[in-house]
Amino acid sequence: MPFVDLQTRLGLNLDRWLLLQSGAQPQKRAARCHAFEKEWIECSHGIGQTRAKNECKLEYEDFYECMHLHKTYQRLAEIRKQRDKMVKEGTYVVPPHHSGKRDDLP
Amino acid sequence: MAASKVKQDMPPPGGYGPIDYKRNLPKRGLSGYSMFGIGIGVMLFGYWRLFKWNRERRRLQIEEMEARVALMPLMQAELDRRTLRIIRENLEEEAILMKDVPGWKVGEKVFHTERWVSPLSSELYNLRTREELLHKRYGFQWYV
Repeated sequence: MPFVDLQTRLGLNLDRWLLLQSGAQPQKRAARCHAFEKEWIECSHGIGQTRAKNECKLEYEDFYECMHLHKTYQRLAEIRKQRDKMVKEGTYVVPPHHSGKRDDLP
Repeated sequence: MAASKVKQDMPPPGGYGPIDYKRNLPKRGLSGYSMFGIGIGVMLFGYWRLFKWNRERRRLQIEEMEARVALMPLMQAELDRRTLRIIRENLEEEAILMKDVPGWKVGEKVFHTERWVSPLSSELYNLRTREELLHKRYGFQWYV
């Protein structure tokens, strides 16, 4: 309930343990987007939703990108597509350590 | 037929010997209680041996973990070096590949923040074969 906060009043912790990725996790294993979520929350805490939507755009976009990885995968797919295109045209030769032969580098 | 001396099959003189016909259920072997006792005793012995060996296994496990902890800085340093090397290689390949693509900034970061973001295995193995990526992600399942 919005203004009543039953859980604190009754001393329970029914679902607060699962609300935030940045909260205490079992086995102390941090989430992948822990830092991004923390930055976003620290930016947008206490200033209300309208202001937060305006002022914390960058943090929110970084957090969204960390969660969904759209831009990352888009970028990787374009690089791979370009590489396949160039291999088909014959302008690019795949180096040996990228084509399945073991590289002995550390 | 009374007094004729015909050869017949008659019982021996004096009759047969005694025949025992009474039931013969001898009491032998262990009693039920003692059998239970032996079973429970064997179980307890087994438990004792098991617990002893488990404590020994726990000590061995702790020793293995301590060895892992001792080697961890070296392993982490080598892993970091390898990651950076792969990132560098990927950057150079990207510069070669995307030379003619209009509007492409080589090494452009997808995040606005200046923080170091650990690369995903998909990013590191982007230009390599799919088998390598799958081996990296799913090859090692559990510590013994």
